[in-house]
Amino acid sequence: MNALMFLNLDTPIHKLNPLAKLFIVACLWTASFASSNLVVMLIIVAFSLILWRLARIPLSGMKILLGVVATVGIMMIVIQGFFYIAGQTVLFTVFGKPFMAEGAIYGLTMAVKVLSVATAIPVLTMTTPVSPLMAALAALRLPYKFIFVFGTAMRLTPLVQEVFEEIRDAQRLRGHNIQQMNVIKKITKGYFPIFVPLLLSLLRKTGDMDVAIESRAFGAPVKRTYLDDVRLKGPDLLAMAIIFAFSAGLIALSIYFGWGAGLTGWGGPFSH
Amino acid sequence: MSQEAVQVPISVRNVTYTYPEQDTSALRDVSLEVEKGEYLVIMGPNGAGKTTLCVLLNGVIPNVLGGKMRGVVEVMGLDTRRHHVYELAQHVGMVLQDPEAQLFTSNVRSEVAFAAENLGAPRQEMIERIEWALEVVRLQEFVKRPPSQLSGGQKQRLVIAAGLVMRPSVLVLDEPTSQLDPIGAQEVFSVLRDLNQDLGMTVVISTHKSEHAARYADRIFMLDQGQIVAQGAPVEVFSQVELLDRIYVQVPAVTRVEWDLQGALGKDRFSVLLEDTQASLSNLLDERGVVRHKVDDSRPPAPTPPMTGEPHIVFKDVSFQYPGTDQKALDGISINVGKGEFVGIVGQNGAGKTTLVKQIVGLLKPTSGQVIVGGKDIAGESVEDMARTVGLALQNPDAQLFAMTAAEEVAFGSTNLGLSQEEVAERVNRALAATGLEAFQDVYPFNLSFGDRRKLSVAAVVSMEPEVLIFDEPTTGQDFKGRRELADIAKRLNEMGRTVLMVTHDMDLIAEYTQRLIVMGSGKVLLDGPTAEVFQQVETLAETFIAPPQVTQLAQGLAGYGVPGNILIADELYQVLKGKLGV
Repeated sequence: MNALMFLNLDTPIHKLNPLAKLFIVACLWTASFASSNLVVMLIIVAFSLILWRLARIPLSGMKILLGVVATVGIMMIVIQGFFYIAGQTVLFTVFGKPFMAEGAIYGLTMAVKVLSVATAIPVLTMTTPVSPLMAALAALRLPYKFIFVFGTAMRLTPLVQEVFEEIRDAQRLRGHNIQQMNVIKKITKGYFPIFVPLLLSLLRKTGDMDVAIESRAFGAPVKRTYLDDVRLKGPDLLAMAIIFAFSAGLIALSIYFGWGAGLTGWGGPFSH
Repeated sequence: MSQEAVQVPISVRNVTYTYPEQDTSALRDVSLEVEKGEYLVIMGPNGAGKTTLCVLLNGVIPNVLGGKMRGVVEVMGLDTRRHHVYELAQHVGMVLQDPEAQLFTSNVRSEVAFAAENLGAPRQEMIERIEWALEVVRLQEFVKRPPSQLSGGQKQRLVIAAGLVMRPSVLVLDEPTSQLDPIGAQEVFSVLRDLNQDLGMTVVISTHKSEHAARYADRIFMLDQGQIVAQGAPVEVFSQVELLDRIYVQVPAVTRVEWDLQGALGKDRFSVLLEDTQASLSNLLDERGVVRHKVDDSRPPAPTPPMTGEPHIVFKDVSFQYPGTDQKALDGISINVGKGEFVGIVGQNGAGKTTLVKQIVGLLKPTSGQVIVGGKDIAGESVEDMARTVGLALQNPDAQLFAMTAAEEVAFGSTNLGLSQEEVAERVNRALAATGLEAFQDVYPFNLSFGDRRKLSVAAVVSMEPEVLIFDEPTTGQDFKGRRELADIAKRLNEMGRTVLMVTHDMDLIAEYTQRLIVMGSGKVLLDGPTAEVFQQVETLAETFIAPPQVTQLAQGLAGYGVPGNILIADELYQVLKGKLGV
């Protein structure tokens, strides 16, 4: 699943104003960044997943996300377990080096923080077409050139994928089997026949795109207008109020619980 | 001068233009005036300067692409060198070849809105303009659809609407149908006809499609090597058959037949439309006393596939469904292609042609049924293994070229087969010779013309010396010469014993080169038999928007005079008519 790809559906989340959705993501991120508590962050992940459900975003996308976060998480747990400075509880030792429970929990908390930040993104990107999103960014007074680059990047992602697959097929038809190569051969010989045509094809396509954009009056020195109406309506304001109260509650909760898994007694130096 | 008073929307005077870092001029001393409400067609071989002329007309040259320009271009009285593209764009809408590269938003409505937003149109006015533009191109039902989910013809119509929203008085289109199937091309041409005839919009279009130019153009400008070599009404331009042959521009088949018979017809300007030629030849045949019989208009019996040689590619009740779709892309296909056959495959986009050929190389595996190549079920074979026996030359050569020289490019495939250096070198020489590229072996592939790059991509597959060669749409982006050269290569390889399959929309190539024709529609084989017999199934072909070659249609129209309806090439028809007319 491409976490940036828009899902063309008609759900309550899709219907929300993109500004309201930007606000939701901003609130969830703020709560996540302000908190160091594992339980609070798991609540944020659970809340995002409820929003996924409402937006009919397939939960299968979580598998990929969990895969990535699990890999990063294990690395964090191992590193922090051995090297966390404020560790007090020794779980076991390896070659005389103690593995600390506080460190492991700190690593786990960091991994879940990454997960909570990542799960919030599709709530905006997979439910909002690029153009209202751009209009929303413009309403936030971001410069249009920046907004356009953002929009074009969103559009280019599937295009790059399509061109890449076409090239990979063409080279396989010439007996180029990258999957059977070892890492060194892949680097020295494997990628070259794929990435050179990819780069050249994209350069040509973007050259054409440049002509097409200019031919449609891009850069005219007038105040740009937007087709999408980004004024907030009742349901948007209601959703924003709920999410604001919810996030503020989470931040208060995380202050109360302290860092790490404070609830379970595995508190650190700043826990109650 | 007020813009309403301008009667000449575009005027080009003595323009010579050279691209940055190039030595040769792409246009040389070109002058033309586009009249209000005119339908003007620009023709010429690849590299003649058609695209350059198109983007000159809205100021992209020199404002965006730079380069050296002499002479003057005026759009509605505005000198393009003194005005920005955004100003000129409001008078001249532009549509390029590749629809993919011109669509950059997430749905149809926002795509059309883009230009109006850039110009700061008030929201209510913008909505009205969008509705109008989408109505003109007949895409109102698709407002929320992402452009990626539209067909090729719909995408190009969307690009047209995206330009129309600025309410330009001229629409310039650079080969807008070269990547479309016959239905898509027909959709685009019908929108252009409405715009020109009903709304009085001036249309400038570059194309290789002579039959289209003959039917719709008020004037044709013929370019060669950056210069205008002929101009005038279609009848005047296409009557210069020798000139067009010299610069490799296709003459409508009906014009060629008249030109061949000019002595008997007693004229030096020839008809360019099927119905006109049919009328003039009917008159002539009547005058010469050729008896007209009543035509048997019963449907000819369905053709059956020829039985030739040992089976080479066999499909046994093959079905295929793409994951996540609810329709079969192939539905119970059973075909048997003999060793050494030359088979054409035609049908609309989505008919299943490419899905079919991808099964033969293992890029896709059947959902049910069996594909047997050379007596072996290929279910367990990888693409890389299949590449030894089946060569598939894909549409876009630029999706595979990466080496520093043409010879290295050709060597890549045979090196991957694990052959010795000597064997690779021999195969490279043979492949370059078979494709006529010997002289270019040390040239950097991207310095070759598009036509030669396409030949190089074929040589890259030929060097692997597969027994089966498949050409997937060799005509895309190619001019008349390029098409014929590729088909000639296919023919040569077929004569050397290879089994050849050619997927194309070009019925003239099919008629001239293939022995057998498979017509596909909705994942099924609709017709399969000797090419000449398949082209007699006019009604079935029409159901899938395919028309027989123009010369076959002419022969069928003259059936009452005893002209056989299975004639496929102009010379054959000429010989028959010569006999009947006694010339």
